[in-house]
Amino acid sequence: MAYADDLLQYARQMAELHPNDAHQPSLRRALSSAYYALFHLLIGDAVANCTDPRFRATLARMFDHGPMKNVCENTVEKIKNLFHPTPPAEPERTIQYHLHNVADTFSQAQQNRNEADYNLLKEWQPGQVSLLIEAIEDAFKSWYIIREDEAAKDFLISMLPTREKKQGDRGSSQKQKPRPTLADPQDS
Amino acid sequence: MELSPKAGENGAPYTRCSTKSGNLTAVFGTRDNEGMYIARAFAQQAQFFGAVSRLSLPQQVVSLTPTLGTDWNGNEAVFFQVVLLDNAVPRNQLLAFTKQISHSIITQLNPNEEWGVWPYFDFITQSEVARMKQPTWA
Repeated sequence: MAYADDLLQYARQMAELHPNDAHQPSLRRALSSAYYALFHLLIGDAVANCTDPRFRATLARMFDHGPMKNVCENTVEKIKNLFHPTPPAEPERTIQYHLHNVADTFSQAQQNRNEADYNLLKEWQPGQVSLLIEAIEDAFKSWYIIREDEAAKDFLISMLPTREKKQGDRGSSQKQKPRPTLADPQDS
Repeated sequence: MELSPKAGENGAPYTRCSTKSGNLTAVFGTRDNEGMYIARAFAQQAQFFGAVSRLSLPQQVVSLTPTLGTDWNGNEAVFFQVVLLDNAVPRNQLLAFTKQISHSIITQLNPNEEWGVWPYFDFITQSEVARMKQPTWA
């Protein structure tokens, strides 16, 4: 069994460790592991064509959470527009549906993973976490359906960092800082 | 372009004007002429929350609470807490049901394109919410 599948199974086991108790360490580890399962599933496929294990390991380390999330959000928006007002014909429709499921789940899961790992004020409940893990399990199924399709490969390639993207990220982060609010204009 | 001089507001010696373009509002301070962009949902919060309150949702949704904030990446976001009736649907249909709800909210509200905020969803049942409100010593 691949590492991503193992990690997802581990996440499910952690989530069900205390079914009648909102045991925060278990629920938080479950959410974090489930996100990383999806993260490694995508990266594993992205580097799978590289035959040398050392190249694979190095290439895998180039993927970064933030840029991957940005790609997912762009993909979600692109597919949303593709389906509006008329969805594409089959088989394109099915492929885009599953790609949307993977991208949207990744974006939501990454936010949940950060909340679970760093926001100790938020209390998680077993049913809530179980549902979030089920969503990631569903994203795995979607990915297994489309992983050989060109659209899925393009999606992975777009997650690879490039010089242009790095410059773009720097530019956008400069534009966004400091975060403006209408309440404290004296900081402008 | 909508001009809205606010000289002296909060005692700060500045003026600003704003221009609305799509889902972003630009705010310009006169001291350095630097433009800053904020999401429309933040600039027009009353309208945003009003639009959320008018959403049409299935009867199994007990409440929908939007919270404006930023995600871990620092981007403007809206966090929806959706409280569902216990056993709103059979457990094996719950994921599909929650996806229908989030899809419906996105379709009706268009939070990213219309309001400039990325939507996040948190589905929880009524009994789980009640459990969370119990004090830890109870």
